[in-house]
Amino acid sequence: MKKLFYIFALGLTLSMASCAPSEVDDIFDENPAVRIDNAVKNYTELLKSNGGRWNMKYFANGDEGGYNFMMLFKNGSVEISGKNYYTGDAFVQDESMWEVIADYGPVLTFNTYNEVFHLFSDPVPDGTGLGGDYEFIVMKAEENKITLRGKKTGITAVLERVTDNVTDQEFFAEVEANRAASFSTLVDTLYITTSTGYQFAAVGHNDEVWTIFPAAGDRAANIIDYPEIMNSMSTRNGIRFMEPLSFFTEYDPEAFIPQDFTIQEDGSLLAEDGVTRITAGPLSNVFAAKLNTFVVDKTDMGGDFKTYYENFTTGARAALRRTINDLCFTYFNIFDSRRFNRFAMQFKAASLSCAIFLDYTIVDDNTVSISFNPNAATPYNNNGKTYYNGVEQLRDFIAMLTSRQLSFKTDNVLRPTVLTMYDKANPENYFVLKMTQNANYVDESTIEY
Amino acid sequence: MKKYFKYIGAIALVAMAAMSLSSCSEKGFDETIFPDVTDELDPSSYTYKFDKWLKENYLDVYNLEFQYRLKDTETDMYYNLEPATLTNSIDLAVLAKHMWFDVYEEVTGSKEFVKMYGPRILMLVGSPAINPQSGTIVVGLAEGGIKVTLLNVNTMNVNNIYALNGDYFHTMHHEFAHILHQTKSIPREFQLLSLGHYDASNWQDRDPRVVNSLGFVTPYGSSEIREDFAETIANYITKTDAEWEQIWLNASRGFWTEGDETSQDLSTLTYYTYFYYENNEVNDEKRKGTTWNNINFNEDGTMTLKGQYQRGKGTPTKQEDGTYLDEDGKLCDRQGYLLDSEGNRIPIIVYDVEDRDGVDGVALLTQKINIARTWFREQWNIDLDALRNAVQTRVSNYTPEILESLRQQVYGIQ
Repeated sequence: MKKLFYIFALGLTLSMASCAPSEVDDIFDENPAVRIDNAVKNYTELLKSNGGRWNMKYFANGDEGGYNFMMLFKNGSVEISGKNYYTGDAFVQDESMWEVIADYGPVLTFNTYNEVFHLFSDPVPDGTGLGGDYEFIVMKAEENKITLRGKKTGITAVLERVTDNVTDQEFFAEVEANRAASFSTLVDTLYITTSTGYQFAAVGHNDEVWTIFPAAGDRAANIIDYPEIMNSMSTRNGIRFMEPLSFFTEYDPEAFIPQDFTIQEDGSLLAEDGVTRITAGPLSNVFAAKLNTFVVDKTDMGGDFKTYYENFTTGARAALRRTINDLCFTYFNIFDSRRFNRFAMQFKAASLSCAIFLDYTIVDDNTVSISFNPNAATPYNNNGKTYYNGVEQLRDFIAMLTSRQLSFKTDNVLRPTVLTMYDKANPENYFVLKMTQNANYVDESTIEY
Repeated sequence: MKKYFKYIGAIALVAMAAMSLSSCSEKGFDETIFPDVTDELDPSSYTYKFDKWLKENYLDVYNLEFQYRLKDTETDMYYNLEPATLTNSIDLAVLAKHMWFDVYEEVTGSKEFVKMYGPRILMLVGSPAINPQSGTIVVGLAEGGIKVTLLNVNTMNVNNIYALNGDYFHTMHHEFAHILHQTKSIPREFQLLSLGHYDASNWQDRDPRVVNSLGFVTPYGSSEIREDFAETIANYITKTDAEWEQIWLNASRGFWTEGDETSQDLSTLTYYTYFYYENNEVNDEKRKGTTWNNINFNEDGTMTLKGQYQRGKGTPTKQEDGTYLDEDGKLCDRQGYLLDSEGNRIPIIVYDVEDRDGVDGVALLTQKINIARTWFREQWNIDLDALRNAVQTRVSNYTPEILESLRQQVYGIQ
């Protein structure tokens, strides 16, 4: 009888278990087929709603920057426009078809060829091409933002609704202006300061494929031992990395993990947390970088700096009958000789190039001091020697500069093009320095002596 | 007592089953969980005209779904593919009907043959399928008699009917041949004809002329029996008379190879159908291959190299009578070229390469076509030659105006 009871109990349990799916259904209200069908309908309507204009932020692969597309979703067709390297930097628009289908969940597919969009998934000539996706799983859909994941690459793409009256051409012009405002070839290293103050350095940003590494310590070793490669794209507001910078927490567990940065009034790029920031780093370092030449603006100088400079030019004309031009601070003649591989104050006396070799010391993030040793083995080049010995006011000018601590400020902390170098003790004594690329500069690691 | 428990047990099991069923009766099994899907076309849709034309000309008539919107789940995920353009899809849809479906209707007298044996899905892909490893390119696929895939649609040139015929309609005939032989098998006789000459690994590196000589219509046909059968049929139907003339010529020839024949890479070999001996010295080491554009085809049937003549030995020596002799005392001219009894330079003789592959290419190809012809007639009640004639007529009559009128079937829909 006991056996019979067990059989009944087992049967009761099984019969209850057989109803389990109904209860799971109750959790989601509807069965899976209806749910996905509803999702397909809802996402289709969402894309077409409120004018149907969206900006897609798209990465084809991890080896190059990302791309913006403007998309106008209509009933079955979509107008896609783009302006990028592959369109020859020309604005191109094409109309093709789209659909939300039930596939790996709801999938947004661009299922007929669009010359703007599908060039990124064209397999010619090697079977892979640029390797981009044209089918995307809908991961998250909000009223104004849809997060997608490429079916083949797994790379995230984002659709953001565009509701203002900007035309597609104006949109791309804004992105281009923003890109120009974000980066400069005058700055080869950027610094990312995390929400907790940890600092990364980065190179490669001008090509939108960043190599990010710890800023502290041996730069050359860090860039080899701890490189994190991440590509980015310019957006209407700033930049977006292909993926969240999750490696931040490997160095700083409390750090906020950013992905999108917005350009600020001071030029810096600020992450969503309002703290994580990208800048060109300390201005002392910018001045000390060998990449650039800092040309003194003759029309904008003040105080002692102006007085001593004018005395020097007047003295040079009186003593040697030459006009002084193009005064600058630069890394001098790196090609000519290893002995000239030095920081210098350079000027032209008529056509003669004169160099006075200086040393500098970084005092703090915004301040340096410079020094001159007339007894050094090579204190100047031959022309510089003529003017140093022949023009007393030049010696006075150098003595004045080397007696002051020189601080810097700039109008743009991300892509400075102008530095104001001023007397830390009296800011009225100042030069305005225009940054230009140093034609003599070569990465020393590439030079074979 | 045991018997008693046996009954109780049976009752218990029945009761359990009843409880299980009754516990599920709320939902029942008569309602589908899938939502209703309508197949009605939306007149406001961007592709309404095309979709309507496809429904009326393919789906309703041949029960064929013409898939021009690419779904990668329908493709081999090993390949990276891209969709076809809508305009090319429309062109290919109307042309495929004109050049393929309508031809079968014309030859068989009804739509029933294609409706019964034709593919259920015709899928278009914009790009070719390029194997990233080997670099080989797939331009068409047939899967189990159900689906034919046409690739590389985005590079289609509708102004070149020969290219269209070769690239797409050839592919359709080829894939349809696969569908047919998957239904009624390839004749045993055909399967035995080229055994030992197939090369499944290196077919893509084989020279098209050399495979003709071996009795294959194309290199791909030389890869395996089933491809040989499909290629024989498809090429017999789609290749023009002029193209077949060249195939017959190649099939009748021998080929001489320059290069390392033991090399794994057959593409490094150069094949010649003509050869000569340097300075007419008949010696295997002096044998050289040449091509028709270097040859004078003389009226007497001989062949000689253009602008090359037999040289004498050493420096010519002038004789008292003003003539020149070489070191062997043979008559030559001042430049050292030997002269015949009439004072003419002696040309370098060119020879046809002997056909030593052991295969009578012409006979073998003829036999293969005959088998296919018989197979079509006996198994399918179709005249293969009539099919070929119908295709070739449509090819030769094709004009841009015909395409435009075909397009209007779609664009003219109200």
